[in-house]
Amino acid sequence: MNAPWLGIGILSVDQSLALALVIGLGFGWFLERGGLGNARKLAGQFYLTDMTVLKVMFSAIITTMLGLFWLSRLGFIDLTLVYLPPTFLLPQLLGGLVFGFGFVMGGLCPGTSCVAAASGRIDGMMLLVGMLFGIFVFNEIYPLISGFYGSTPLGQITLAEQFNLPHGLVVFAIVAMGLMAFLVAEHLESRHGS
Amino acid sequence: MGTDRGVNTILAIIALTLAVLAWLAGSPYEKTTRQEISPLLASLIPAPEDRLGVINLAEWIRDRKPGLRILDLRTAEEFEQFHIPTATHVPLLKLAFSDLSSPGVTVLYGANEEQTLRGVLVLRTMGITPLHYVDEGVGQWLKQIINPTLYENPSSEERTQFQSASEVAAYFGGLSRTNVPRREGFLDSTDEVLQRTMRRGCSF
Repeated sequence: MNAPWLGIGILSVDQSLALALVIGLGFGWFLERGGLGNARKLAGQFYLTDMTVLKVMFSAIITTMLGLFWLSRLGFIDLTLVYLPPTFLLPQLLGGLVFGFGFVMGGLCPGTSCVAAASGRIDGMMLLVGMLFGIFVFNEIYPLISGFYGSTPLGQITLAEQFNLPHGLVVFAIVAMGLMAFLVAEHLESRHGS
Repeated sequence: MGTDRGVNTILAIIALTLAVLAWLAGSPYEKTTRQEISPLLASLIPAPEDRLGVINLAEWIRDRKPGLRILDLRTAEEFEQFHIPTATHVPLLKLAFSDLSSPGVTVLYGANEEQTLRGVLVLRTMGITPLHYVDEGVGQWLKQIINPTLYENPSSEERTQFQSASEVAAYFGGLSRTNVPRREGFLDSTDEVLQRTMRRGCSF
């Protein structure tokens, strides 16, 4: 096994955080170069005029999923050492709705707002301020909502385990869904795109 | 534009090919250490068939089962207050360093199910067999052996369990109660049963 580096002790926590900073900067640079620091471009997703966000997200999901599956299968990475965030169904459902509402209102998500702010866009800076204020408010009211925050826990689940399906079949289904989404996105862009 | 479409098509074909192969491969774990260590992990996890009821344990103590070794994982104070007869006090943190080399049957109980199962895991890792655990420990002992209770309108299963418990309860100084209103029974916490037991002078 050669990875994950933090899990098998090649990197310390401090070193992995330093590496995360480098990866984060690279991630931000690619987002900016891809035009994802532009709120108009991102908001176009919700009006079906610009499907870049969908294409980027599905490309990332498919690449990561196939990469992890085959790197594990070939013995390069131990998936049991890769952190899997636990699922809290209702709080995460509400969180997703709040996230989506903020996304469509501001035209940027947390990552792209950082990119927009870094590239000098004022709307990105204002969203960053709003995001930090939201984090502050959340922490202040946490004692009041902690019950809901930890409700409906499902543990560290995966689609394959939840639906008792082979992992490979789920991988295939998601890739097929992604490719179909690309075709639909292309069609919608040619129809509604500016 | 035409070049982009060509690259996209090639990438899509590669992704689809890897996805079909993933479907055929089934699991990402089959060639990793997870499969190699899973039998070891499986052998360490407490099995339901190793769970021992307090009535069976009481029978083993009464019959002086050869090599029976009962380990109490709770605190020294809890052990002093009350423990299952013939049990030895071994705190969980010292369990791994205790001398259990002599052959025999080991039975384990703790303050709660989590502590008990942690103890089972430690002893399994040490290779101690045969190994049994009483997951509700002293609480069940007090309720079933020291204070066996037959509630009003019992089911046949409750009646059979009461008869078995009553037989061994007499050996341990237990006091059987019959025709007890169910509401009273449901209010009996382990502490209440322990206090009642202490009041009537039964201690080990």
